Amino acid sequence: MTSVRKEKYGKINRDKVLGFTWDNKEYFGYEGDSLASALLANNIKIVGRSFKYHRPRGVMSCGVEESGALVTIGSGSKADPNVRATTQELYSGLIAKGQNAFPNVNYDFGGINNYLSRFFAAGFYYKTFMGLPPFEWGKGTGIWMIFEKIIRKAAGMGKASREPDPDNYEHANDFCDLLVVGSGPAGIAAAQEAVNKKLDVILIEQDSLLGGNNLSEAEFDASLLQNQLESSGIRVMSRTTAFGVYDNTVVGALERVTDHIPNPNSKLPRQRFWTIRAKHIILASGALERHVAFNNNDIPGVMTVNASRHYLNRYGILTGNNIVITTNNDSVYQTALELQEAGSKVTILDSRKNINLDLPKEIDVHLNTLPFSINGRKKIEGLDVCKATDKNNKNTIICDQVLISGGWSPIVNLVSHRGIKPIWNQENLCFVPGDIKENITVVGSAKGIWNKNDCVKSGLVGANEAMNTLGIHKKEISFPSVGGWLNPIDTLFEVKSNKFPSKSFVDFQHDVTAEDVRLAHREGFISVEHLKRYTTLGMANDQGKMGNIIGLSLMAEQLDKTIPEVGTTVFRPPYTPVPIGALTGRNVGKHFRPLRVTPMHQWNIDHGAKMIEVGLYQRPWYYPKKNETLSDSYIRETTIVRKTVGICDVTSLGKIAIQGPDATELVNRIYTNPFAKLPIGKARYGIMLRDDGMVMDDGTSWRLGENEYFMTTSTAAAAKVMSWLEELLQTRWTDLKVNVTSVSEQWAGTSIAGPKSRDVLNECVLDSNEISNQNLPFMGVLQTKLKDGTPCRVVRISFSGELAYEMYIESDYAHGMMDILWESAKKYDGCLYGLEALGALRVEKGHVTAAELDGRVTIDDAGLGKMASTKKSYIGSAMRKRGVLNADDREMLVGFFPINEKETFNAGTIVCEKNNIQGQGIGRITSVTHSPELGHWIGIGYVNGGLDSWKDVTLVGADPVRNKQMEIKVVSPHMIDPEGKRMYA
Amino acid sequence: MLNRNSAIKENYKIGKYPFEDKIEIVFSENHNLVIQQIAAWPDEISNVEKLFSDELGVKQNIDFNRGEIFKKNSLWRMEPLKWWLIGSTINLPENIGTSLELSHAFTSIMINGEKSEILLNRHLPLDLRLDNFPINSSASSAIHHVSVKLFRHNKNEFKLFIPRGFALSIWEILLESASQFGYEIKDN
Repeated sequence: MTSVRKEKYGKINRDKVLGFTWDNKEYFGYEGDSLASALLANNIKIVGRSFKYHRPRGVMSCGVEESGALVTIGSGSKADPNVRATTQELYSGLIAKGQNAFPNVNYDFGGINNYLSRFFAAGFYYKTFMGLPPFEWGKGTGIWMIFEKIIRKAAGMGKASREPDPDNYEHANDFCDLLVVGSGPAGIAAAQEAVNKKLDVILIEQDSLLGGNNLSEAEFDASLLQNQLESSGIRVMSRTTAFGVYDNTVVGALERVTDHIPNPNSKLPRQRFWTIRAKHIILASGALERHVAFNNNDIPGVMTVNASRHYLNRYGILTGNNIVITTNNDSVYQTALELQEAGSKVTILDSRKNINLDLPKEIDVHLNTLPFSINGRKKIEGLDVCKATDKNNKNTIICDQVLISGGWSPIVNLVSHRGIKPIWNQENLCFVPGDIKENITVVGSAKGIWNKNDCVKSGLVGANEAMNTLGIHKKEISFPSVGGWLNPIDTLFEVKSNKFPSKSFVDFQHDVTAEDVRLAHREGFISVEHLKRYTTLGMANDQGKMGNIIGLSLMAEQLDKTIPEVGTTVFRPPYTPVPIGALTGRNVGKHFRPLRVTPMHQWNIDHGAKMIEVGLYQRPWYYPKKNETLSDSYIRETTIVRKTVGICDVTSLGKIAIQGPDATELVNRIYTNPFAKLPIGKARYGIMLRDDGMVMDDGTSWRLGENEYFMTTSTAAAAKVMSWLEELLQTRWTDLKVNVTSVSEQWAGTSIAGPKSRDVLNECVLDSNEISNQNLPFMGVLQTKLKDGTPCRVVRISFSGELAYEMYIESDYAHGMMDILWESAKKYDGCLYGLEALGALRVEKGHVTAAELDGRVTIDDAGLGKMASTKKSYIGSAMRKRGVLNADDREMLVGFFPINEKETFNAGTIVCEKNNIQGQGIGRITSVTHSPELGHWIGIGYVNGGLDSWKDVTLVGADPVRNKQMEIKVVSPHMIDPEGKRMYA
Repeated sequence: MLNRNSAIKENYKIGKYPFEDKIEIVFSENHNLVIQQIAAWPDEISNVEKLFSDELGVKQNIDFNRGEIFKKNSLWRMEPLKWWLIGSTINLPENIGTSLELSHAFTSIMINGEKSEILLNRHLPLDLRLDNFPINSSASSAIHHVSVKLFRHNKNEFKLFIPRGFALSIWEILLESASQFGYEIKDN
């Protein structure tokens, strides 16, 4: 193949020369070139190596179906493998490399695989799995572990960069009345017809230019069309591929925003992932020209016929000097004429015996003639041909290019995504879309209509069908018939070779040959789905666009069935590959998950907090002094709280406003303990159960008024409790006059804990004597003001076991509140404390959190059974009485000490009897800490039968994950101040 | 009284950030947001609506997901039984419903400009075409899994309400997306 740029041909801008690099050499192309056309213009024949056999491959098509020119674009972190050179727009400075080859695609050591191909037949992976005969017969996959690395290195496509993707991607949504996919003659007609009737129309085109197959015509002006469409009000999205169609006429589309720009502005995303919701979709996605399987049908220089025309009229490239066109249908003759006029010697081999066409006299046409085998290794040197009726006598035609047209396959992929099975059309030897029950219409060659005028007509009809379904009008419609050629297509999928092994390719991307399909049949893989998986036919990134029909025809022949009887595989999204970066959009790095912060977040950081993620929240973990470790810090913080006072951000607790005349009734029904008589100005700790009697969450509810409560929940269960209350009110207790609203964001909360907490608070509020034991007893609530007059709420409550309070203030004032509290606490040598110290304090006191209330425990298990009222009904009150939940050997909350006080254990440690260290043991440790108060490691958790069953018994804490064991003993979970003297002080 | 502290203060940098010399988005935060949530009992809707008429001058009852904008405040029907009064408060008799202060629960960002609809659709799966989401429309949706409320004040003018704790994160994502259009952050 000798390809050359022709003067006066093409739609490229010859005034703008673009330099690019191919396999480390510099070349030039023009604005408007694809990488493939630029490579062809520079007469580069070999652009890739095949997947398995490392056979040299050239450019085989001009679009998304490309199987030969798969290349790597860019370098370093921007290396993008497996890019189809046919769809990559050329830009100045583009760096492209061949892939799956060493040292390069021209001279590839891996080419030896081609000579060992009989060992790499279909399914050789699976056979290798069985072990190397006779040494590993019956021994499974041992040797595979060695082979795998070699095979993976030798076979494949491009290599992805191991560096983080430096590009930005984003998601986007759009809506329209009509979405037209494809800007060929049918799509354009449909879009214009719809916009003329005032519909809001989006037109999607995967190419950079509009026009579809019109771009293969010499006189077509794409920019004129673009202007016409946009001025008529159509929203045109070029460089955008509709990769999937989903429920409710939702289309997924990928827009390549900067893939064609040399140095794009970093503010622009590289690609945009669109979700487009249309009222109706028109699929004008076109058709793909098929190859024919015959020996060596993959030698560089083989191309589909229409691709050659496209290169001539769009890019001004004549792809061969001496071209043989082999066909079984009428579609090639115009191309032949144009190639001949452009200067090539053209010979046509038509498999049909007779055709009724005005054949150009300048072109040799051989009827009843088939391609048999291409001669050459890295380029075409000739083509052996034979009569369809006599394959024994062959002639050789000297040529440098073989163009193939084995018929056309409508692109039914997108409609197939909706589960609509395509229907085989025997007359035109192709699958056409099946009956569609949704607001989707297929038009043009995607419907199997070949004639251009009929395609335009089908577009108009399609638009009217859309308007019928949308209720805009009611018109009688009738689509043009499928087909449109003067002469019937001939059945020609394969020209069988007498060579073995055959190099007659069906799926070029995965090196699947006709012989592989027959081998699959012989080995029993006759279902089309098994065929696909056994041979990998249609599993490469072209997803069978080129090879599926040929593969099906070969299997049908083997089974002595028709193609529709064999069936077709289901096409699934995406139609063309979608980068993971585009799927992710902006949800990367710090925005991988939404970040939730408390109103004091910056204040905490400014005061030295190290933060930790708790769910989505960022919470202060610890506040290290100079050179302090986490342990140093939390032990110091815990000690100071017990000694003087500490301040901790507890805003992440869930907060719910409960309002209305039935608020008390609601609260009383959901908590196990009674709330009906809770006075205004008092709070109560409560446990709520699920319907099944297990603990859902714990928290407090404060009665602020006759009809108003302020409920706090654990951080972990905030959303769950809110949803639960809504569900109860909306489904079970619709008669209750109660409103519940999350006010978690409205209020900032802080804990002030320690013997000096009362003194600190009194310095911070307007009336410095207000916070007294009398005014604010344990569980008392006060609505008061900070000393500068800002309203706040104070509750006397303790999670640490010390005299402690929580202060809540409207969130925008949180920084100011912290300033005031901290200023006062510093005078008492107080500290700021984080989540780690908070945990240590509560474990010492034996208070439970989500680690203990994990959905598996009852209120009795957690040692809180006394809070379950026997006088009222509440959620879970019936089911908690089930026998199994009251068994004597149920696990119960206990504390754990190490026997050797120098030893530590981890949360998750399994508690076992000394002589029976196995399985789930007899209990588990849920939370651990160093106790500054006790001077050694402590934990809380559960053990079967509770403290009474294991008092004074030495048990074993087994930690198989860390390969650790230690002797432990069971103690009361209330390890400090069990009488609560400090708390009630 | 303490001063109010914005949730997005750390990244609220007043100034112009053009893209190719263009600015097509203007952001401004309402630093003194006032939200009163008014919830009516089902059998008291007409009395609540009468209250709105008397206190605010609402001429026609407001449908669900619609609002009315007045000179100093605006009223939005967020749910069939819930309204948000933005900018001021009124007294609600306890027998007809409940009133709740939510002024600190949300961060309110005004998004103005030619590309405001497009920017919002980078994140929101809402049909914001003017015919479908006319002026005075409201919607609840989500940006990056975070529940948000959106009000349309004008063709190219929207108000976005983000839960306070997520506001900084969502604000940063909005700025990232807006950089391709060019944006300005204004003081309010």
